[in-house]
Amino acid sequence: MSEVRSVSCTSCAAPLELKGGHNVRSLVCGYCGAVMDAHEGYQAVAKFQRIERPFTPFMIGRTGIIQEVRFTVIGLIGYEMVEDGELYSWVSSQLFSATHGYAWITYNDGHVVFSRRVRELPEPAQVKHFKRKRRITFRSDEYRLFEQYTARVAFAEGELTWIARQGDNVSVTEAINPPHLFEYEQSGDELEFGLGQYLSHEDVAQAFDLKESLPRASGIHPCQPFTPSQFVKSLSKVGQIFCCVSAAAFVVWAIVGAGQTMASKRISDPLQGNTQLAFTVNDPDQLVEVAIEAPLDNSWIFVEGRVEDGDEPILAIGRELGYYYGSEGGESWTEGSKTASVAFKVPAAGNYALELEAESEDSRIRWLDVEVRQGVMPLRYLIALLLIAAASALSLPITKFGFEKRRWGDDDDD
Amino acid sequence: MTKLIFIVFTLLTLGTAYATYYGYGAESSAVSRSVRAGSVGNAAAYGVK
Repeated sequence: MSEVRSVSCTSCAAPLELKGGHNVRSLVCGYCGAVMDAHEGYQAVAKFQRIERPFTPFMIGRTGIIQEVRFTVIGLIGYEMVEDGELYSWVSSQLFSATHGYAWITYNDGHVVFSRRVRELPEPAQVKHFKRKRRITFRSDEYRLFEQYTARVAFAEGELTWIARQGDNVSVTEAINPPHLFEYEQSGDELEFGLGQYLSHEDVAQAFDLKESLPRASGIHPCQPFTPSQFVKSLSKVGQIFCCVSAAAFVVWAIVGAGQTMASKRISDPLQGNTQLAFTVNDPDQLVEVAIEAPLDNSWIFVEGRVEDGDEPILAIGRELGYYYGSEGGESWTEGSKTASVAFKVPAAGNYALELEAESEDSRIRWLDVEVRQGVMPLRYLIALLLIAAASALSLPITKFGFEKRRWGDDDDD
Repeated sequence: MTKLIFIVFTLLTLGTAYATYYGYGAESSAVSRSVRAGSVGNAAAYGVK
């Protein structure tokens, strides 16, 4: 437990509790805004014009256990930054542990980052020319530069490890390796380094034993890790399984999907008259397909067919095949096809007859191949299943891609 | 959640297998069915000829 002492504000005489350790450098009175130098008998050295205390769940006196260390909030500092005419603000709460020293917990629009000063140098030790996504290294970990900005101290209260003055500027360069954040902080000639870690609302609630829920986070924080929803995780996992199932189904389809040939015939001189082809259907619930092929050469043929059940006609089919080719501007082209097929079902199992009659202006057509197959399986449903499974499997990387896209804004110079 | 999605996909796969095996809805659109109606179409009826 931290030792609690108290002093009176040397400016307004308000009683102020002291919870910090020996490295506290200043105490800002929460009543009058006086900034007192802790090393100079709490003599007032500056004053904050009172503004409304910005919201943070981590008010002075609150305690929490972060990374197995109990910290107490001893001070608050509010920052502001104007970018593109828009004002951004956030609050950093100074934490103190009697055994582990000082740290910060920063609340920014629902996002929470825990950070500490570090003494090791990053590589490079200074960022002279900021370039987004440029890599830096700290403790063997790679970070990418995210943003550079200058923040202004707008509010302070309680104990701080330096003397903060209203309007002080601090230049910050942030590099990220979610959930970690590395900061170069330059105040005047002093350059300090900070290492932060993003805390989820669940982590924060557990650490500080919060009864109230934190406000919903707005946007994506620079070091916020990608945490997909349970639905997306499950969808992606199941999608991967069914991609494999679809692939196996394609193999089965490749083996049996063409059905079995019930009758086939090469009709000689097809333009000379009608031809009949008998076939037997065993399963009327399955598709029957008639496939035809003709030796077309810049010509067409119209094939009319009837499928009859005994004397009774049950189906009528008509197909025109045309195949043309040539060259134009040095490039060859083809159009149409020499083959065609129609699929249908018969009302009952049994024997059927296919009667064919062909017509064409091309007397060179000497033959017509006809094949009747039963049990032909369409591919469209398997393709649809594969697409759905693939889209589901990809939902996780797609969601992550979208998340990173939003994190980095419009940057695409990865 | 995973179980629920797995069940949905299983049903979808069974439906796909059924529709594929029986060629559901895959009859050619140019086929004119006149089952035992005594009327048989011909090419002219399709406007092809």
